[in-house]
Amino acid sequence: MIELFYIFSGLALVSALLVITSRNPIHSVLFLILVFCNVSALILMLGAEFMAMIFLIVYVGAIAVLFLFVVMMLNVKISEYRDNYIYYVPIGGFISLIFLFEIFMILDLQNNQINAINVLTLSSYEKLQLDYMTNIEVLGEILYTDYFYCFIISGMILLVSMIGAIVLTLYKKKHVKRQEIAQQVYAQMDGIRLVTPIQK
Amino acid sequence: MYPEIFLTATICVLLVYGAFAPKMSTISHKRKTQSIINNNLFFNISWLVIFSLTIALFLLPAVNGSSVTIFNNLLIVDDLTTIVKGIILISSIATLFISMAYVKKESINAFEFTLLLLLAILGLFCLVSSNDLISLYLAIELQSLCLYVVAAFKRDSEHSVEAGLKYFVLGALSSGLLLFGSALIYAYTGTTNFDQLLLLNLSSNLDQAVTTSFHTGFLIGIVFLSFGLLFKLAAVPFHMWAPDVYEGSPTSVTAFFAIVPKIAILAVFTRLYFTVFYDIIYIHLQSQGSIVFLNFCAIGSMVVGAFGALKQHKIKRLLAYSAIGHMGYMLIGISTGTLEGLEALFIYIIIYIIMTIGTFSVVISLRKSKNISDLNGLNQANPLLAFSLAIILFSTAGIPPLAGFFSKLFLFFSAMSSSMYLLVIVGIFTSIVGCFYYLRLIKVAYFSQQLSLSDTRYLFKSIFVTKEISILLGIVFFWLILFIFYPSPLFVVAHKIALALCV
Repeated sequence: MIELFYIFSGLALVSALLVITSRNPIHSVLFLILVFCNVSALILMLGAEFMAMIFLIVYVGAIAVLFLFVVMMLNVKISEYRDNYIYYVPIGGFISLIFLFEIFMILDLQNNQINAINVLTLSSYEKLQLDYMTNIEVLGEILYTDYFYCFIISGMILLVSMIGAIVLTLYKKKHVKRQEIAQQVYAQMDGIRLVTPIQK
Repeated sequence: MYPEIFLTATICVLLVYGAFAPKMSTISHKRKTQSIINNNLFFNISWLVIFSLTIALFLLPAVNGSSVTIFNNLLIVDDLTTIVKGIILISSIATLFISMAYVKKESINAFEFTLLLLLAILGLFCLVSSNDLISLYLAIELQSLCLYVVAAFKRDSEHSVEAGLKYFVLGALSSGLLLFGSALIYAYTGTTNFDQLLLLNLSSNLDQAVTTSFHTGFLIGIVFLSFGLLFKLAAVPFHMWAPDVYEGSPTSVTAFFAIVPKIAILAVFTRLYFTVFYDIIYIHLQSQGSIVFLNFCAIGSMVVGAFGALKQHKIKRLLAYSAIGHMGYMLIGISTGTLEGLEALFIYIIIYIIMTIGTFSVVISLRKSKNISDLNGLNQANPLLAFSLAIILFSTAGIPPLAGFFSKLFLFFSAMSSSMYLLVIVGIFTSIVGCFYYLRLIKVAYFSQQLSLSDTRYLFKSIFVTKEISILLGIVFFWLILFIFYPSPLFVVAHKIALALCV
């Protein structure tokens, strides 16, 4: 099991690196898809099969394909940003070293206690639920009862993103003729003129 | 919870109204042009939003010292939330008046603007009363998504779009930090709920074994969480976005940024620092000096705010740096970790909000309000406006008889009583430097070279003070002057807030 974890996480890391470094945007989107697939395999290994499937469907099926579509539509040329590559290495490396140091600082000291505390918070009822119900049932039961507030707020966030997207992109041009359905329906009989075809 | 539910319903109804009203009116009045209809629609919706905010003000529950958690402990209602929500409502009504004046001048013909502000207010409400890391994160996302869109609202202007994009990218980074911090806290405690975290911290105080078990990771989680919040507050190491965003976005949006969201984020920040993590931050780590980073943020913000503003030529950029500086003073109140500090913090932020409303209502009344030199000859063109600007700026700088002086005074007192002399010294020094640039604005408005008569007449015509703005300015003006005679209501409010947190 642990070997599988190493394989998937290693692949995910390598392909994540390739997403950033590959020159061709299409390649990097494809590597992004590979990252998503590996991560969903990792989630599957945790036993959360529903989340893994959702991850695949949403990220790979929708978002990444949309990315790919946009990249192909835009016809982005292979950009020449390699010149700056060396320029950013020192600062990026420094920051990532700091984070690595932090991670080791956490892991060394308290590797063992994490699980101990986590298990404490699950009540016996919840454990029972986890054993006898499917993933999706447990998720639905929690999401629509205990955390319904979060669900509603997420809905509001989606509403905001919809309004935002419309506001920022919709242009109301004056001289474009549009179909005004309300006006068509509203039109009275006397507004319509019968036109006889011109005879020669 | 009534105000939130009411606001949500209002948003939905107004959205439908805004979407369908233009079509209705094109059918009934064919002669009116589209822009007039849109403009009318904007004002209709703005007034409706103002009405609904006023109603929400009356819907706020009076809790009187008790605290209630609702929605499976995801939200909390106590004195802090009620009072802060009231302040948010009042200040956002003022901001809406300001934005209406702006729209009269600049004509952004889109009703969604006000609705997005309303959604942001809803997000701030949820943020103030959040009692769980999940609801905290969701509320922050809700309000900041609205603000990203609103910052880029003037999409014809390159500055505005740039501001929106910058704010979006950096805001996403800070949300990432916040989420990472929350994940670490969850990993090391197994809970995201504030009450349970509080219990855990209290028990860690008693039991040395538990303490050592989660210190480092938990602490890093707290630090990341604070980073995310400090970013939203534009405190110093995370202040880079503020000047650009303030400058680029439309002035009414800048007013909203400067006035409304800060108190909500400060409220949740103080809830985290003064109840949830109080023991771990102020008792455990005081000895190890881990609160140093907060002191660093405070000092850094004060210094950057004072010295960054010195060489600015744009009014809005200057106001952004002044906001950073004020945030530094407010962080003093948090880093004292005492009841007096907390009270002083809330007195400071309320006075700051009132002063900022005043400043922005003056700025919005000027037709051209980009450079500082646009204030030239304001005294000749409109002496009353110039005088109120002068009083507001004197108060912001902290000149004695005005309200701004007292807010600084209380903060410095509280810092002195918890023997943080370095913070006080830096604070006094930077407020002296700050005086300089506020006085420079007044100097430009009063003592610049004399304008010719035609120029004065032109300037007089270009200044357009709406009725609402003038009432607002009058209230702010007299409040700032007369605060010294009757300050006790504000003290009572601040004391109530502090008690709600520290019980």
